Amino acid sequence: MRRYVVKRLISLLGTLLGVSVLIFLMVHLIPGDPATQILGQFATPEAISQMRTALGLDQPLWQQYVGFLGRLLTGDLGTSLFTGESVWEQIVTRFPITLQLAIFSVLIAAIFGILLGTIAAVKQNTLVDRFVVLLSLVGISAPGFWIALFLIWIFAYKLALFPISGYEGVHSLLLPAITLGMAEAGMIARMTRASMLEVIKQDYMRTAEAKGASLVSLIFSHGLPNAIIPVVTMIGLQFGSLMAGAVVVETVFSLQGIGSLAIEAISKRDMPTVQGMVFFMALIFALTNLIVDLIYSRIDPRIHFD
Amino acid sequence: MNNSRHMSYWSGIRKRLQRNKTAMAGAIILLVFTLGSLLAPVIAPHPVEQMNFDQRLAAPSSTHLLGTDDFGRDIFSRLLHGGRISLLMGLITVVLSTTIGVTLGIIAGYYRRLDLFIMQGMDILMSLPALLLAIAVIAVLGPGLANAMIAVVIAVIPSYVRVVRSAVLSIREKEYIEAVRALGIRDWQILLKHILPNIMSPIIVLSTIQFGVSILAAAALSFLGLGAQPPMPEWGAMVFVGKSFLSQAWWMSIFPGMAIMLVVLGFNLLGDGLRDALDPKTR
Amino acid sequence: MKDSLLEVDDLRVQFRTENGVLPALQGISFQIKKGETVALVGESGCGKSVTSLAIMGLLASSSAQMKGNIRFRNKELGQLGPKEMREIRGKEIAMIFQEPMTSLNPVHAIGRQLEEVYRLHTDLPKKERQNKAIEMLKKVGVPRAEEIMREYPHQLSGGMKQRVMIAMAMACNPHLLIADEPTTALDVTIQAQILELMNDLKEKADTSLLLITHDLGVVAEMANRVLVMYYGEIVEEADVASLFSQPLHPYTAGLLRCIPDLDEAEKRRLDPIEGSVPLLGEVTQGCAFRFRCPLAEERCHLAKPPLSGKGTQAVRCWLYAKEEMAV
Repeated sequence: MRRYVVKRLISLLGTLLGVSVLIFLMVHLIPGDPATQILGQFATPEAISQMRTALGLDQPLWQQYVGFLGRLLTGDLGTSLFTGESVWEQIVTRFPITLQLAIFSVLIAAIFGILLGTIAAVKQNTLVDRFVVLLSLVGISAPGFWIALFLIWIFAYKLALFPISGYEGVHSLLLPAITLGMAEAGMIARMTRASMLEVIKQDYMRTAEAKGASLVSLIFSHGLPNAIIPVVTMIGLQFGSLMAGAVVVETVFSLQGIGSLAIEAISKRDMPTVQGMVFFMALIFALTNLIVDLIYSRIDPRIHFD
Repeated sequence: MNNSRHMSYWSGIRKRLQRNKTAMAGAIILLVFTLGSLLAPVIAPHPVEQMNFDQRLAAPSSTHLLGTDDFGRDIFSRLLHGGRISLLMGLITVVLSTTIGVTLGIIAGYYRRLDLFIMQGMDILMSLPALLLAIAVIAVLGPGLANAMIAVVIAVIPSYVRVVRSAVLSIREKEYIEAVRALGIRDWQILLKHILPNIMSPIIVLSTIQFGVSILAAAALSFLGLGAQPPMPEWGAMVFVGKSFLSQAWWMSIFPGMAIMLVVLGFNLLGDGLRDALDPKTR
Repeated sequence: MKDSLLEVDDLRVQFRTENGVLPALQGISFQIKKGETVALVGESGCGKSVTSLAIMGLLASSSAQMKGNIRFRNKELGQLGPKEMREIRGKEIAMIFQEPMTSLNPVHAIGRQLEEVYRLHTDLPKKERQNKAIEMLKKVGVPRAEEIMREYPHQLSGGMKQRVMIAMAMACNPHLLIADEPTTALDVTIQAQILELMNDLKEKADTSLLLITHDLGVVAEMANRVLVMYYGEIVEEADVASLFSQPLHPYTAGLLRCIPDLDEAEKRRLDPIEGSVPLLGEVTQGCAFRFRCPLAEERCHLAKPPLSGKGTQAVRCWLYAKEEMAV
């Protein structure tokens, strides 16, 4: 187990190194002179040369990268070109909202997705099944921003049940979390259904029935623990994408998470903040994948890491 | 593969597809939207850019089927024209990402030496969620419709490479490929004539699904102000504008969003149906 | 002999499928007495497993239609509600399946799966249930029973898994044990051990055994009486000695010729019956075995042979119907 974790951590470092090259090159890939592009056509030559120094563009490429990597390793993601704040500081203050939002929506998605998927599988080829299949496909197909506006229109304007935007405590995360979880719930329901249909056919289900187990025990105690294994993996692997989806949701609901931070940074072409954000997300993404693998070994006794 | 067998293979698929209600529902949705946007100049009840300030934010009615926007423009007409942008954008991104992704995937699967190199690159791209990757690309290139498309293409390429590579890997060791190789036929001919036809099924299914995904992603970028810019009647941009008028004129944002949802649903239904029809083993 | 435990009378099962209604069982009748071992033999596709699942009430009601009577300890099983049937399943009638490798739930520990039987059918407290489970594992010859309780199916060998399955089936001392090809998936050496174990346990608990198999060697070793099935019908019924010394039905005779005789293995060639069991719904009239029967005559094509008795044996074949008529 420990050896496996170490091996995974090493490969994770490799990936992050690759990402560091990628985000380092981001500035250099900007067409034309990055400093001019960032400041606009009408910037003074002094401002532009200052910006070049700020971006480190006056040094040879490899030297720039070594410096960049060195700072990265010490946790220094640079400072924002506009607020002058430390990028790391900005991310850390805004990350909790995004994390809460993501966890909240994963919970909602998992509960509804697994429940609906299981019901659909048990009631295969009935009207209920068809309805769940269509509903989950609609959930996957609907744009997040549209779901968000739809929910705001109904619950905030028409029914006045929820705050329209901004963060006023955990309850203001409910609509954003539902929005964010909708596509996820659809995917979970589809996967649970497919997996459960496979499990229902297995010999051990017949054994359980022959023992005299009831339908409820058959489904929830014997079937679901098996059916859920691939679903849990998917949920974990989707967690990163979910956080990326927070970009849209945070913008619509005016939440001060890292998603809206990214959008603000891009619209101002605040490259250090964008770079820091991308690196941070890659790190979170890689860590969640690792955690998912470890959880996987807990729920499936057949898996052992040596 | 001889010709008659080839024919019966495809006609078998067509028959299965026609019997598949899911696929047919998707195809019908897409047909309606395609016809609507192709015939937009003919069937649109009002000129797209015609502003009418007396009719600002008019609710859906018989003259304005889906209401009007803040400039008094007819939303239904704009949706018809916007469909051209969304569908064309989807088409271009799918063609580009399929071409690049399939090429890279085949190279990775066939030439083992380049495999490690390509897959390492894909791993790095995939170490970021697709939407974030697209946003990062736009951070570099700047906002705009064309850049949004490039961003989406880069973001979806890894999924093609992965699927195609594993498909190639599974058939490159098959006996008939070995036999062809022993005949001294050139690599590119083997790839084009023997490997590509055999991996068409997963590519078709993936492209159909990615068509919807691309439209969805491009619309999301436009909504974030990173893609198509207003006043272009692109659906995502229309929702973006409508957002500010949600309390007065819900139709400005709800209808364009619904259009996106339906088109993407159409591609997902068709993709699901194609998967069943092309791969009789599943289900 | 002793009283009858199970009486199956004119049991018919049909499957509704896309290709129409398929007759899987065409009216079979038999009895099992208390403590008796009855073997149900025939090739695959003859309806052996359907018979066992019908008795257990495990046929999917959505696709299978059942007619006829199954009386178990003077209760009509067809009239019981789902809850009453669940109380019988696993407690009074238990079943062992062919595939020990896949018949245990991979995500639950052995102990939990075994203990579940007691949880479903007794009011014992948890501690007591666990002790019972360990005791049962020891009874079926599982070494290190306490440790095995905490282990998962994938950590056990096929033979061990089948022992666990037997422990689960025998946990509540059932009146009837149905074993569907219990040793087919196992190594030859393990097969003998498992059969001996089953015999041993059933003797001790006075359990009746319905043994489903295609292996006549197993039949000779275990059974008191034999039912030979072909295409959803019982074509011959006999006590085990008569069946082996004097098989009546050409199909039974054919099956017996398939047994490799250990003593004369070199002299005699294995002589399997040519062809295979017809697909369900394929035969609409006449004797279903006639296509493979070396003795088929014209009337075999025209009508289904009646059941004729000859001594303690009963057989469904025109050959014997003739004799009966002659007498």
